[in-house]
Amino acid sequence: MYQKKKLEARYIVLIMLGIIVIMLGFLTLAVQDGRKLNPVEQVIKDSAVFVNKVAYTPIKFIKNQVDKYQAKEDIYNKYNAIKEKLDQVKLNETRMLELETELEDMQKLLELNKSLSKSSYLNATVVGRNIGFWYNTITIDKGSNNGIKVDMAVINHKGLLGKVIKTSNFTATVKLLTSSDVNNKISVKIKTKDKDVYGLLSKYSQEKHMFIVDGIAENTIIEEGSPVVTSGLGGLFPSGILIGHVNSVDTDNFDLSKMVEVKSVVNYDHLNYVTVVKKVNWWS
Amino acid sequence: MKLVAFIIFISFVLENSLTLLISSGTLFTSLFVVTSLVLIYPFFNNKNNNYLVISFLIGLMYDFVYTDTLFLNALIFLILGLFVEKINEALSNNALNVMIMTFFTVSLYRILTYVVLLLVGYLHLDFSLLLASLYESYLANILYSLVMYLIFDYFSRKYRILKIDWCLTLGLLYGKILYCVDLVLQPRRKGFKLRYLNGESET
Repeated sequence: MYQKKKLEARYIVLIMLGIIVIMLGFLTLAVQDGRKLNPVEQVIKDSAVFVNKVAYTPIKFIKNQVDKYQAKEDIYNKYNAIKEKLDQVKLNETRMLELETELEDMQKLLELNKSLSKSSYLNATVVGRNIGFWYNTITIDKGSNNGIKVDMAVINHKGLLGKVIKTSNFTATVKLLTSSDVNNKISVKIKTKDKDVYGLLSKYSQEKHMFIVDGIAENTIIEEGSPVVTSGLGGLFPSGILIGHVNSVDTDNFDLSKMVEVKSVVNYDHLNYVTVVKKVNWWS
Repeated sequence: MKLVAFIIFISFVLENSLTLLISSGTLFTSLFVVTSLVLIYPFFNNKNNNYLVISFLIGLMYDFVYTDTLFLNALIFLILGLFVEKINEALSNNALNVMIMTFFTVSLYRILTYVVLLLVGYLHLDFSLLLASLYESYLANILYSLVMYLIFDYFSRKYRILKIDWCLTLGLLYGKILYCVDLVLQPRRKGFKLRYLNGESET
């Protein structure tokens, strides 16, 4: 009798372990970024986002009024700062037009139809933010019906935010660069005086609020303040989108390569409006 | 059940609104849906199977709306539901205990999610990440549980909606009533007669 009870307990433990292993396997598939949402998920998500958007409207109105009041107080100083930058912007605009003309001429000459930086843009509003801490995603109010596809880059007026990981008919989920996901790596280039230095943006440090770029040769000279932009070589993000500026340069634990801390230009705490970059892939 | 549905709906909406309003990385990370598991339990009046089913469904909704991870939060919320049941056996339903239960429930949620994501390879081993997620999650959720408990306790008393602590109170009251009735009836059953002799009573 005692042996029979002991066997039953053993079987129960084995069955429980089996169930846990199966569930972990299932969850491994469930948490993947590339998983497509099924129709039920899409309908529920679209409906929930709509309800959240309606519920947040009065709060957003009050927040905008408060922001406007705060902005008015500082408006004179901001006006002077903008006035100073206006001449510089006009100069850059002229130079940019000249460069665009040169680029078109070169493309015609070399019979190139596409480039790493050719894109079109779609504006969207942030209607939700994932607070699970680990995922660091936002939900925007544009979806597959608006032409948004998975892996499209998302930016704002300051720089790169992240990429689209899931879409439904009317919404899309954007994973931010600050996500703790181990697979969240981006090919970047650091613009120095002599040349562009290529590296890999590997993680975001929650303590220091900085990105870490590694994979840079130990003998490379990088100055603080150098801009860090997307290289376009990873195939996901167009080239030339600003990520941040170099804050400090250090070597890794084995002194084999350099690790660069990059201060982001984007304030990830206040994201209201974003732009989705519809990139034309250069190899397609 | 209408009150339960209302609490869950408000928790979903306020969680999203607060996250958009307040910047991340502060001490006001909201997990109001997790907190709602503690708030709705007293309204189930020991119908524990319904509570577990509702916990699972809330977790599933959380998956669909916020995290896009199918069944991850559904299973975790089921475990949290079992935990809330067990902890309610040890603690009575009052404001202080609701805050304590919220503290433990939020902690368990964070730890379970971290462990599962670590096991499936989504996160790397970083104890400081877990600690940061824990201490940033307490303040807003404990305050929310306190405020919501006080509001819905008032409404449940005003509209006489039964809760677990009411059942206990009524049970005790019923016991006391039975005892008094028994005391009154006892002399008649044994045939005692009360006689007045010169103004004095005698049994």
